[in-house]
Amino acid sequence: MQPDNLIELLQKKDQKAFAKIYEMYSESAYGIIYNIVLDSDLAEEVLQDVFIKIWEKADTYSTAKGRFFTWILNIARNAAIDKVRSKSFKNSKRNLDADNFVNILEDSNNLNLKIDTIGLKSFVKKLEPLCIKVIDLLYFKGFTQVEASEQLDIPLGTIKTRNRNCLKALRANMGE
Amino acid sequence: MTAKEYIESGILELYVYGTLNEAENKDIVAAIAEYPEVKAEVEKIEKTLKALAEHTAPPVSKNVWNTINANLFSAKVRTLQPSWTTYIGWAASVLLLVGLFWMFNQNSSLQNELVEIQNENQELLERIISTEESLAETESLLNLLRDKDIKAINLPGHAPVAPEAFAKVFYNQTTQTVHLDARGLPEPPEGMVYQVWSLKMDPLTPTSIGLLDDFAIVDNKVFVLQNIPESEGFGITLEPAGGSETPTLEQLYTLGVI
Repeated sequence: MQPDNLIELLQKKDQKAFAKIYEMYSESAYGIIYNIVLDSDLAEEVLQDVFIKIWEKADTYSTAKGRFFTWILNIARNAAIDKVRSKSFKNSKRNLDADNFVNILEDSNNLNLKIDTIGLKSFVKKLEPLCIKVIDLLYFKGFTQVEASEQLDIPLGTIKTRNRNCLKALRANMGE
Repeated sequence: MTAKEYIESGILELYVYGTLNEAENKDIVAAIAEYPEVKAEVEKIEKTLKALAEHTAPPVSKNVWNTINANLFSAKVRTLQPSWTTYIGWAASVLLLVGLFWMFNQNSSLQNELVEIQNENQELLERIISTEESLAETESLLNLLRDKDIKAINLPGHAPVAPEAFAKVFYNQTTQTVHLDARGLPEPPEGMVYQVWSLKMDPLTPTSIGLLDDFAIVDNKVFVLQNIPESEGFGITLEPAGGSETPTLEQLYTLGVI
């Protein structure tokens, strides 16, 4: 399900392929960035940098390293974390009400939030609070298992399976 | 590990998250290549995660793509444009420089020409002045000849000293002036000078009326002598420089009687 043809064309600096890649991955990359930066203007700035980087560094990606989605995910996460650590970010106002993906979904002030075509909101609402935390840290924030186990104070050996079960529940709700 | 073990372990989720270390990652890449079920599971996980991320943020504004495009692609056009205009700019500067150099050369050669022409003009002007002067002189001589009071006396050469020599005197008794045309006389030898005499006949009395000191430098050889006493004839003798009290008759060059 990975668009290998497009990726190959992108690596040959095909602008049309790049436009399609943007279409396919910009929203998810933005979701990751937004979950870390929590400011739409700043998140868009980061997204621009991320796709410029994707264009420029496309030839460094190979299937041997992992999923193309994961490659983009890592670039987006790192860029967003860099932004959060930057001076300009620390001086700016942040949306302190929302600090994970569920809060973002439930934030009543977030009128701009896109129409929830798959009813994601209702699915995530059904997630256990710990699941939300695990998915937030591992997926959105890019924590390692060790970091997550320390942060959540749960045994390291259980992180992987707990995370799997949480995602399975989400997948089941989404009709997988 | 079997495909099922991979799937159940929960490591595939972490693989898609991108939080595995390098060794673990390599292991999963190999498992995906080996087991189609593992690959299918990974794709399902990715689909869910992608949807989750897509739905937990506001929509991305169109400006983002426009900015990316502008940064990546019109930026390239922009870097090309300067190089194009730079070439034109350089070419124009070189042309300008060559043009300036050419104009500078033109200018200095024109200035040289101008100086030359100014010099020529000066020369021509001087020639006109001298021509006008000599014309005025000639006209005044002509007027003199036309004067009704003038008497023209031929002074033929006096053998044996200078049989070829001759002179002409234009004598105006009223103004007591003589114009002497001495063109027919040879150049006087070094240290000698022509002396002009007025003559009265009965008895023969010569009176000196002038020395032709500047014989060599007067071009038309016309000399003006003034305060001429009443004369009945004129004679020219060659005398030592400074002239003599009385004419040296052996050196009588020309003689004429009215």
